[in-house]
Amino acid sequence: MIQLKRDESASLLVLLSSALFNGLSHILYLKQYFKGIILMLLEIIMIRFIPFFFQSIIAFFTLGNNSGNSASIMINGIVSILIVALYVTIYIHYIKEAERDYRFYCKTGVFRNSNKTLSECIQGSFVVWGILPSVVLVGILVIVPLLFAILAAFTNLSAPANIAPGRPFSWVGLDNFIAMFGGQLSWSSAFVRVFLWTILFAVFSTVFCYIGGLVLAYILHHNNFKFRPVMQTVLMLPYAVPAVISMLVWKTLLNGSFGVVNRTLISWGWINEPLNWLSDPFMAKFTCILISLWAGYSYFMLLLLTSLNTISPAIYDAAAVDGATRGQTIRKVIIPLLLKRTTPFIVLGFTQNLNNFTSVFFLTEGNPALKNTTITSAGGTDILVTWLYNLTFHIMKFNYASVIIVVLCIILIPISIWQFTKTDMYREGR
Amino acid sequence: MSIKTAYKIRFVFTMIFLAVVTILVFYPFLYILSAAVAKGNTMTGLSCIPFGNGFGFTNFQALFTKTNFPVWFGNTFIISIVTMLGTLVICTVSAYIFSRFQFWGKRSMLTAMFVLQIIPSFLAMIAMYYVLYWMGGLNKIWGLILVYIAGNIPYNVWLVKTYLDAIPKNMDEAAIMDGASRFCIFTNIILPAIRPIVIFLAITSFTAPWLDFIFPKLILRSQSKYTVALGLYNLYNEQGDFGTFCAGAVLIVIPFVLFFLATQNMLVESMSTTLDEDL
Repeated sequence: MIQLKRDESASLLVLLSSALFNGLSHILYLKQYFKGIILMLLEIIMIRFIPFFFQSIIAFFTLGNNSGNSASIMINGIVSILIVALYVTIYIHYIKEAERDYRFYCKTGVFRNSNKTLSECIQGSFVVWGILPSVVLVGILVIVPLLFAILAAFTNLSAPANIAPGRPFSWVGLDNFIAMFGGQLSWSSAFVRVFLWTILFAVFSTVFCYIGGLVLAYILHHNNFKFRPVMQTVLMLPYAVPAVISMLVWKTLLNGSFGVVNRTLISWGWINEPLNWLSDPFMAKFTCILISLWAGYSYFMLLLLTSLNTISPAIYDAAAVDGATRGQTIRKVIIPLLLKRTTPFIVLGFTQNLNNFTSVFFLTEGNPALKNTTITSAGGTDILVTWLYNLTFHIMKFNYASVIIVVLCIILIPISIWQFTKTDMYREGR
Repeated sequence: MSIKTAYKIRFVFTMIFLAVVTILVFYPFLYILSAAVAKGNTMTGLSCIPFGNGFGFTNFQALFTKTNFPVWFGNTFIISIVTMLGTLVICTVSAYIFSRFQFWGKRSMLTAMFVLQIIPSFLAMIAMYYVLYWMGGLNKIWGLILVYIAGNIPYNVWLVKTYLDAIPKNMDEAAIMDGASRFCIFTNIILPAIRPIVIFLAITSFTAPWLDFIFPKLILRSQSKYTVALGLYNLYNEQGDFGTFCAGAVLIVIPFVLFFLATQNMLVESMSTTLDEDL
C-alpha cells in the first residue's frame, strides 16, 4: 500500500495505474484489495482470450470468405463484440471510480469501503451473482438471436445453397431490402399486401374484441339474472382454452365441403351453395377477423367487467341528476372513462395481434394461395409473422425472413419506447 | 307503452342476444367433446348435433395405444415444470436486486429489458436455430427449456420488480440492521411478501409450454421428444385423425379450464391493480 498525498496531485497516477491494469490502483492506493483482485483476475481472463476475440471479430466482417461455418462465425463475432464492448465499459467505469475514490480520500482522509471484511464483500457480490443468470440467458438467447436475425437481413442466407448449419454465406449489403421494397415485383407486391393486411388484421381484431368485450361486460354488469355467474364462466372459455386447439376446431367447423357451419346453414335453408369461409381470399380474411373476435373478446370482457366494477355508482347518479339519459351516460361518461383506463391494455392487445401467429396459422395456414404464393410463400391471409414462419420452414429464405423481422422491430420498438416513457422509472429519472 | 314494459322488452332481447352468443361460444367445445367420444374418427362423418354419433372410447384407446400421447404429455410436463422453476428463481432474484439495490448499469439493463419484452422471442426463430446449433442444444429438451426461460425473463423481471417496488422497504431494512444475510432476507421476507405475483408467474410460465408450437417445431426433431401441441397438430394435419386429435384435445382442455377457474380471481386482481394506477 502506497501512501498518497491528499492534495489531488496523484489523480493522474491513479488514473494511469488503473488504465494500465484494471484494479491496480484499487490495490496499490485505495485499500480496496478484494475488488482489485477481482478486477485483475477479470483482466487476466480477458487477455487470455484476446486472440479469440480478435480472430472472431475479423472473421465476422468476412464471414469466412465463402468457406467454413458462416453462422457460427457470425455468432462468435456477435458474442465477441458484445463481450468486448461490455468489458470496455466496465474498464472505463472502474478507472473513473478509482479516480472518484481518490478524490473522496483527498476530501475526507478515509478510504471508501476500505474496511470491508471478506464476508461483507461476498454479501455485496450478491448483486452480481444474483443478476448474472438473467444477463447471460437474455444475452445468449434473446439479444444474440435478435442481432443475428437483424444482421442476416444483410446476407444471402437462403435455400438452396446456404442454409444448412455449417455452410458458408456472405454479406450482400442492402440487396434483400431492395428486392423486398421494390426490386422484385413478386416480392414487393407480396410484402405490401401482407404488411397492409397485418395492420388491418391487428386493428380490426383489437377494435372488435374491445367492442365485443365491452358489450358483453356491460350486459353482464347491468343485468342481474339467475344464470349470470355460469354464463360469465362460459363466456370466458375461449380465453381459458389453448388457442391451438380452438383454432383447429374452427378450421374443421368452417371447412367448405363438410364443415358443420355450412351444413347447418344449408339445412336451415339460409344458403344454397356452401360458403368458402377459408378458401376465398376475401372471405378468408373476414373469417380470420371473426374468429379472432371469438378468441379474443373474453380477455377484454373480463378487463372491462373489472373496470366497470371500479366505477363508482355516484358517477351514474351525478349524470342522472344532470339530466343525462341512459344512452348519453354510456356514450359521454362511461365509455370515455373506460377507454382512458384501459388504453395500455388496448395497445398491448394491438401488439399481440400484430404477432398473432396462432389465430392465423392454425385457422388458415395463410391460405388460400394467390398468384405469387408459390414464389413468395405468402398466402391470402398470411400476416407478417406467419409469412416469417413460411419463409423459415417452407421455402427457407432466411434472408427475406430477416427483412420481415427488421420491419416488425421497426413497428414494435417505438411502441415499446412510448410505453417506457409511462413507467415510474422513466419519470423518476427525468 | 309504460316504461316498465319497455324495460321488460329490452331485458328479453338482451337475454336472447346473450343466449345466442353463449351458444356460439360454447358450440365448439361441445363439438370437440362429442367428436372425442364419437364412435368414428373422421371429420366428414360427424353429426352437426352434439353427441349425434353416440358414445364410445375408441378414440381415447387409439390416443393411448397408437400415438405417443403419453410421451408427449410427459415431455411437456417436464419442460413446463423446469421452465417454471427456472423462471421463478431467476426472475424473483433478479427483480429483488433491481428493486432493492443501487448499482452501476441498473438503469440501462432495465431499459433494455423493457424494450426487449415487446419483441416475442419467436420472431428470431431462424437465429435461435443457429444459436442452438452453436450451443449444441438442437433436438434437446434442455435447449427448449433454456429458450423458454430466457424468453420469460425480460417481461417477468419487470412484472415482479414493479410489484416489489410497491412493498415498503422498512421490513428488509430492519432485517439488515439485525444482521440478516441478503439470501435470508430474500427467502424469509421478500418471497412471502410477493407470494401473489409468484403464484401468477408460476401459472403463466407453467402453462405457456403447453400452448407453444413454433419452438418445439424448430428445436425438437424426433417424435419421442415432441410436446403435446406439436404432437396434436401433427395428428390433425398430417395424419388427419380428427377423432384422436379431439380425444387428446379434451384431455388438455379440461385441466386448462379447471386451472383457469381456480385462478380467475388472481387474474382479476392483477388487472385491477394495473387499472387503479391510472386513477
